[in-house]
Amino acid sequence: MRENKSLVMPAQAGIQLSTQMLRFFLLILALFLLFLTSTFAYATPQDLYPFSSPADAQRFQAFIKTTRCVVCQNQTLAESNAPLAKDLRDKIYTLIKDQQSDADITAFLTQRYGTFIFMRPPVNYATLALWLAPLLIFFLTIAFLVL
Amino acid sequence: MKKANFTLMPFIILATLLGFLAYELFHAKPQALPSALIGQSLPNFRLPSLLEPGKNFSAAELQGRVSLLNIWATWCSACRIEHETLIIINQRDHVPLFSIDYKDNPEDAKLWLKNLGNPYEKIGEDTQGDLGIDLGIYGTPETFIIDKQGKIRYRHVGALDENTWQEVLLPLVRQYERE
Repeated sequence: MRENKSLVMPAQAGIQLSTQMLRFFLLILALFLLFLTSTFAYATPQDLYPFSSPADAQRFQAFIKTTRCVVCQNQTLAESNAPLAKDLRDKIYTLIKDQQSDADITAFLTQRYGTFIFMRPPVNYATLALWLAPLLIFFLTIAFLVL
Repeated sequence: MKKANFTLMPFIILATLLGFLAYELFHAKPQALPSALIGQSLPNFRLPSLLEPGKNFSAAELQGRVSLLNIWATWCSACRIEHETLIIINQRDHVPLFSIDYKDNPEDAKLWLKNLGNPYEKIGEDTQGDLGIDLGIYGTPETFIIDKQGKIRYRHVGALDENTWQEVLLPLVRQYERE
């Protein structure tokens, strides 16, 4: 009997040891998974302006790339880190989310900031010289070269 | 004759371009942008009143007399400089002065007014900056002259100083008051 016991005892100790090891292993695994998920979260680029439709996402991009950051005048809303640029990006985002048309958003921005807010000046009497100047210079150059 | 004219041409073009450059460098004011809202009615806003809990400050309150609408914030250092001028204006010239506390913490704003004095008749809390966008503002401080009909007549961008007030804004205020 004694011999038997002595035979059994190491076996039980072995089982106890292996459950301990298993627990330890599970703990390590849990920690590993925790770190894995946390790094995963950091690695995923967060979309600040999520849209349900790709068309809307495209409209948003088109708007922020053609709208001027009025504080930092020669940057677009897409490029600028100014607080007002962020506010205007957010505003355009909510307007697109609210199913506003491109014309509505353009009107919204123009009414508040004037046409200056768009990087591309509109063609009107005030900007006619600006738009025609390159053409005029081109023809003048040709004329000078020919003469 | 023609040959001589041609050789001078590049210099004339260069001189013209340099002239434009000089203008842009020394005379142009890229920051002085007229408001798109001149001549239009104030946006129909309704904001929580800073110093009266539970009460609102709305656009309708600016009707009936010529008043100033000042946009400020405690995080804006130019506003601190301007604040002294506003207090003087309010005490000496008796022009009604309203204001919008723009993207600010109400507690900071209350402390600011307690320490520096309060020249404002009423203050609206624009915590999110929505009215700022509706007013087409570029930053703080900005000051609008609002006429009796509640229309925006003039906008001053940047800190208002005694000189600009005496020479530009005050005459306009008196002129609109006579209308």
